[in-house]
Amino acid sequence: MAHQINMHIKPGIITIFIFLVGMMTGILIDNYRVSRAREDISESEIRWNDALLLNQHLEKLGNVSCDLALEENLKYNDVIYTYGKQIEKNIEATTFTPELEQ
Amino acid sequence: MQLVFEILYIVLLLIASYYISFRLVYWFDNRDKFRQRPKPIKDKDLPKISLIVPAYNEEHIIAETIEKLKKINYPKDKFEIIVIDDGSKDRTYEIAKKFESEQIKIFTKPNSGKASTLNFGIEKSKNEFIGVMDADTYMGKNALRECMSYFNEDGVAAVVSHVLVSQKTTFWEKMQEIENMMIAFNRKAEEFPNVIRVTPGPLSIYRKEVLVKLKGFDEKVLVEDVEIAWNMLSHGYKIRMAFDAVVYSFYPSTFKKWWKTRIRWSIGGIQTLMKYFHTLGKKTYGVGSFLVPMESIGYFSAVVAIAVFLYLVGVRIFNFLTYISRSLSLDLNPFTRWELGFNPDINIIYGLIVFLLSLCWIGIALRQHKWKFNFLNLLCFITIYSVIFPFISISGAYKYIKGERGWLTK
Repeated sequence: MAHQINMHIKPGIITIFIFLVGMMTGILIDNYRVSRAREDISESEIRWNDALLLNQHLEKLGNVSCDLALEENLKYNDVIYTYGKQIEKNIEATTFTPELEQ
Repeated sequence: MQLVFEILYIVLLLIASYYISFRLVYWFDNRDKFRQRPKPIKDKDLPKISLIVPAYNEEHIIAETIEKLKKINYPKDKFEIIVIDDGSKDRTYEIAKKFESEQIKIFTKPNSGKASTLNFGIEKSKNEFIGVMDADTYMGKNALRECMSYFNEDGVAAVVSHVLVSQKTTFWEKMQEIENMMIAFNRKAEEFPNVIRVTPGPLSIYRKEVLVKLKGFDEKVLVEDVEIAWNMLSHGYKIRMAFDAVVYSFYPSTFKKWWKTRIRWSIGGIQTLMKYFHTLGKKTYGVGSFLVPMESIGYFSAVVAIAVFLYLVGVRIFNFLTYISRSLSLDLNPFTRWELGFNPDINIIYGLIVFLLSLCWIGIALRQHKWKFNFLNLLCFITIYSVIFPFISISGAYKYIKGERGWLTK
């Protein structure tokens, strides 16, 4: 009887090992997918807030001279440019997600 | 609902990976012995053997089969051929009768099925070993000698041959060729834990005293070659496989014939399972602890697999199409975030790993045969041929429950 049970041990261990590998790989990929989705959400939230702030800011400016508005816009453009450069750097660093370049 | 199907899906994958692992583990652990042959027996020590050839409507091939048997490499004085015509409606008996001699015995009897014909042959045989060979099988010249050398091991009651496909013209024959190679690999791997589930009809050799002790072949079961193997194993006997004892057999060339044969095997498989189900978990060697549970799980998996497959694939296709249509309606490119749309979740990854494992298994099995790689045939085997099997199991189970038996025996 011992032999009958023993014959299942090795295949059983391999089955569990494959199951764990499958689950862990799946969880890793799933996590990656979730983090990408989170990134997208937070990025869009930031952009939305930026746009909102800029709008409020320009409304507050009211009758202030165009030079000040121009200056604020240039400052904002600098931030966007820095942000863009950072994205470009990220794209160059990874080839795993080439669709980011689009 | 989704959760239930996902759990069933995981269970199915666990079963599949266990099934494959079992074969691969025993192959890997015994890879040095896999193609090893026992010490050949000298001519003078070779035991006497009676080769029973049951024949039903075999007029087109019986003469050729007997002619080839006369030429095999085995001492003539130690080898008798018993051809039994099982009430054929054609000229099988008349043609075979022409070959009758001291070495070749020809009998005829009313039609009663293969198991009954084999039992008739056992009664007529005089030798200590019984060989069973289908009338449409060609035996390799040394196949019999190869088989006999395995009987030197204590407790061996039967030795099975390595069955390959004789004619590979039609799609079904080509698929059968790959399947037979897989079966041969599995069977050899199953030899080591002593759980070979069938002594195949094309060529198997038995110790006569064991056959007599077990009261011969069960005439009520459609697959007498499976039943006798389970019977032997449950009594503690060993079954060995002679990998180098190659025989070539003819297989159904059309889907209709192939389906009919498979249904017959499926019903016979259930009959055998039912007969030995009481041994589940009991001290009956490999039968109660491996064959009965594996066979039961096999039928369960077949039923569940179809339902799970249809549900999960259906849901996934529906979700994917919804994602595409939503993206297009919002004027967005759906492929910029393909990983969200495709959604490769845990189930898919685990399924993919089990699929890769099965590819390794197929690759190793085919390599043992030095199979000439044909991508299209292999692709068809994996994607079309293998997918039909659950339907066969379900159809077989349905016919078994309905009580259909007789029409399939002829």
